Amino acid sequence: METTNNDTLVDRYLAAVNDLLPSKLRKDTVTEIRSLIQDSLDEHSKLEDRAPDDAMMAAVLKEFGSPEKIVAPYLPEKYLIGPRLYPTFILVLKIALPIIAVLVLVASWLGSIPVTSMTAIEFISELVKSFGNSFSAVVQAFGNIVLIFAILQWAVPEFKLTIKEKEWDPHSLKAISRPNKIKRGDLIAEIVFTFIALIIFNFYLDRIGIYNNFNGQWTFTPILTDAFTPYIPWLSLLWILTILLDVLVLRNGAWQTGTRWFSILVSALNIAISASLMRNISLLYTFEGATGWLGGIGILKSLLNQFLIIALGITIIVSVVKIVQMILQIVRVKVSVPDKIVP
Amino acid sequence: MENDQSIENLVLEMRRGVIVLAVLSQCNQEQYGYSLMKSLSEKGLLIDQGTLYPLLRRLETQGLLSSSWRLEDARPRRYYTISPEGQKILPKLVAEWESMVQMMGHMLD
Repeated sequence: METTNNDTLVDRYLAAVNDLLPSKLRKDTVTEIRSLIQDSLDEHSKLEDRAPDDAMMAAVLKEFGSPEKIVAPYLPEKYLIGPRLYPTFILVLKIALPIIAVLVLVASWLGSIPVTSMTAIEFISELVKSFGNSFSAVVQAFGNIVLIFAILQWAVPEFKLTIKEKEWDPHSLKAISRPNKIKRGDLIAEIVFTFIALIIFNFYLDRIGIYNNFNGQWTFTPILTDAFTPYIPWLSLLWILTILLDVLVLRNGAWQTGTRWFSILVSALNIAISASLMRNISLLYTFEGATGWLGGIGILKSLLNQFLIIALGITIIVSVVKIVQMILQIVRVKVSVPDKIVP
Repeated sequence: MENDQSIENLVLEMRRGVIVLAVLSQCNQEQYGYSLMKSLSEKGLLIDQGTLYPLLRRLETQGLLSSSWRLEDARPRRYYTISPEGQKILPKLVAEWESMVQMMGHMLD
């Protein structure tokens, strides 16, 4: 029967199928689908007792489904990143992206103009710029990680195989961790000390200095310079947010997703302020004018600078670790763990 | 309405499990795609064309069916028949099926 040789609909359908198939499957599969469509048309023609026309062909093609639908089962399953690699891919993302975000944020902040000569608008603009750089770096890193895993998926045949279950011992199960649990004592201590710092730096800043007994007479020399003054609002903001966070966590009785995000924000602010302090440390305080110390001022300041830089560096590292931990817990802790499972 | 759809999906899922056995059992004689679909449909198993034809190709790739092209009335047709490997496996699948029917019978009694 010469029903479909000039049939535009069937020809169009097969042309669409042809385009969707990989070249090595095309000829065979298209010939087969053509033969199946013809069989189906024959059957319809016999049942309806008329020659195939456009309407009949449309009905048959509708039974077959769209070219995409008919082609899909013929195609081998392909993954950019397959199920075997996917958990590792996610793990790498969870570890790498927060670290890159924080590192670029700090590096970008360190590269900006000194905070002491910034106006409030410049400060915010530098902060926004640093976050922008950090975001760009994260997007770029994400793309690179996807590319590396896609190459691994394509190049290493082992990743295409199904996972063979290793010999598993129930005793290898890890103890249940409860990352939501809070340490009340630590939080209360942090609130108290942060509050004291807040009061001192806002109301008794002029009392911070060197007290010295020289020839039986007490003298006082302030050590903080004017360059430190622009930091006070930012430090106060950091401490108020820290107290607020601690109060929220204490009130909730456990870490929650909202407080974790809040903690990430506080840690990021802490990193930004610490990085800026680190960069300008030698300008922020002075021993000039301290009576009785004249011989040792240079060495003392140099040693103190080193010490403060190390202390601020540790603060930054601890904050980075805290951010990574918080992000991991936000992603991981989706399932609530029961306190005890009764057999 | 949503419930009907769920039931339909569950039934479809159950049917999917028996399609391979049904197809292999019908390929003792040579069959081309459309004739096989008709044959299954006459015995009560309705399969849409988009499911059956790729399945035939998959079973051939797995070595359970073999196929050959034949020209009939100036039209090429692909005929499928059970392969020697398929013939070895079919009785085992039938036995497994019977045991499942028995097991489910006990379970649902």
